[in-house]
Amino acid sequence: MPDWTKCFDNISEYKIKIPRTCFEGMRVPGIIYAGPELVEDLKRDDAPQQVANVATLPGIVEYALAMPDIHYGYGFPIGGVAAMSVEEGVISPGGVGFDINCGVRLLASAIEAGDARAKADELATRLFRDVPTGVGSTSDIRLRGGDMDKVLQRGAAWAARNGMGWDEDLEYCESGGGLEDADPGEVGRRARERGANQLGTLGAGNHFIEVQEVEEVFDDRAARAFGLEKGMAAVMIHSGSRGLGHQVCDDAIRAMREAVVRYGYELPDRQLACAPVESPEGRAYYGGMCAAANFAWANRQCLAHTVRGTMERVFGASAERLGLRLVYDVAHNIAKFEEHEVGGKKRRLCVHRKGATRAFAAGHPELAGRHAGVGQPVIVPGDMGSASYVMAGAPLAMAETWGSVCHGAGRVKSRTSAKKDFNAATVLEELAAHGVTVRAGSKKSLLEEAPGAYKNVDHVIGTCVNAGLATVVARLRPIVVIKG
Amino acid sequence: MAPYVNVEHTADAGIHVTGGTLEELFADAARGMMSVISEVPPEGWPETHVVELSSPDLESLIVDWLAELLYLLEVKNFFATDPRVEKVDGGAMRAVVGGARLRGVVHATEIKAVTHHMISVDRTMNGFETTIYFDL
Repeated sequence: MPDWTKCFDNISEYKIKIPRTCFEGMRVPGIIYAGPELVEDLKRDDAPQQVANVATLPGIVEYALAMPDIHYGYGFPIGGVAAMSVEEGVISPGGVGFDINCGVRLLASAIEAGDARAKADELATRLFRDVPTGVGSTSDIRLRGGDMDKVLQRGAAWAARNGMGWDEDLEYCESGGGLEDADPGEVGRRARERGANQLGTLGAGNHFIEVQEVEEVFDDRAARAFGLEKGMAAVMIHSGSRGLGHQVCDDAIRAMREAVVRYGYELPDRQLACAPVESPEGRAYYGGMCAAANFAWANRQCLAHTVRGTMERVFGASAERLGLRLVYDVAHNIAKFEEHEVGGKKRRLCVHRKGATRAFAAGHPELAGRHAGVGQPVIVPGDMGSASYVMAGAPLAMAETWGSVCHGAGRVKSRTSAKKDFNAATVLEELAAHGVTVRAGSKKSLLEEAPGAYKNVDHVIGTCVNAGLATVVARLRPIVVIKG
Repeated sequence: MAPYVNVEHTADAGIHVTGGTLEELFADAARGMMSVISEVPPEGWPETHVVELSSPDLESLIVDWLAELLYLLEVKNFFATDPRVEKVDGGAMRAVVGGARLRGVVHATEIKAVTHHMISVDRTMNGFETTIYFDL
């Protein structure tokens, strides 16, 4: 592994530049947001190479960006953000990832955290039973006739209009929980087969449901606007587009690996397969990706519906009375057409976010109702032992990162070494000592996702805030954790 | 050297595979991937699937082959344990895959996809080798 730090050019305490001269073929510089505590992690990981690889893509505008939770991925690094020229640039499935619209949704509540803690065991058992997890798990939601096309076309709205949600839920999803450019015709037979029984399933890996306590509020005005109150319980859901999205990405890479040869692109990694934004392959992928993103929004909507039902049974009151309102639902693996300022002029760009969250600042025309004056809620899950955060997008993110920030804590330890270094009994003991009740599908998944496998989320949030990309609104601490 | 070994990757998982012939390489890659999903094969009814594929090159072919086994697992609940790769020729292959149809939900590692990340099938003194990464 080359020592990337030799190449690093520190712009500020929280911002590192990889100059174009650092790696052959870079069309623009790379910029990594990383505070002093995170730089050491960068030395142990080859993710900066992946930032440089992204910088070689045709039509990339200004810079290849990486958020402070950056770690090694495939194709793009995790935490990678890149904006492409619509006219001369490319769209790359590797810049979105297999789990299209993997994302996070947060429900506030009027339940006292103490009451949730008192029922932690029952909550954990019931949630684990009610929410399908694990390989081969299916949900009770049966899609008939043209239902799948409607899910792909409408996203969360399909679920909400079919008795699985409230109308106001849609207002508080990024893009209203559905992308209009979805083209169900670009979702092939295999993708449909894989997704057929998976709507409303959690999946495995780092996906989870957590019941949390709003432990600290840092910004009263924003917290009020988001519906968060100190000492109350909240529910966080992390899942994506399941097998359907994975297959849409797989099919697109297959189509594009041939397109790459036709368009004469020389790529440093096959996983960066891409095609011009305005080419038949590019348009086909974008239409299919939007449809898969809608499937993911419908999936998180269905999961939230299941969670509301479980909470109703555990607390003996309606979800409305329990105040289980949606704070927000964000996508962190997606490509979108957005207008941003480049060199003083507004330009329409194709923004790729892979393991990065959109973070529009107050006043952005896309922000609705209670968020308009405070900025978009950004939901950042930490590891299951420490804390998660809610932030709000800040103006500097619009100026520097195409309105983006981090998406999580970011891994530092591979799954293999996590299994080697940790012991299930100890991890469970430590979580219990922190007041966390866990239900996981297997010891293996518990160990792979152990708190020690992640960066310290405080450092990641610290970099975002100190670099001026977002403001911190609240910290949430886990009470119950459900893992696949 | 073992036919496949796990490779460290910060977020995901990888295997380094060797084989005296391309057929062995492909069979060992399949065994390696299934061991990432579950070290001990889950129980189920015996079943056999025939897989025939063609792809633009060897690298694409080995990724497509493993993706096919993931598809069989997710859609047909078929867990491959005995991949008999009969022929790998340029960009085409045929295999008869023995395994088990799972009886229910298995709490195993979910592989979302086989990536093309830095994929290269290389000739060695003793045959072939490759490294394949999976998205978890």
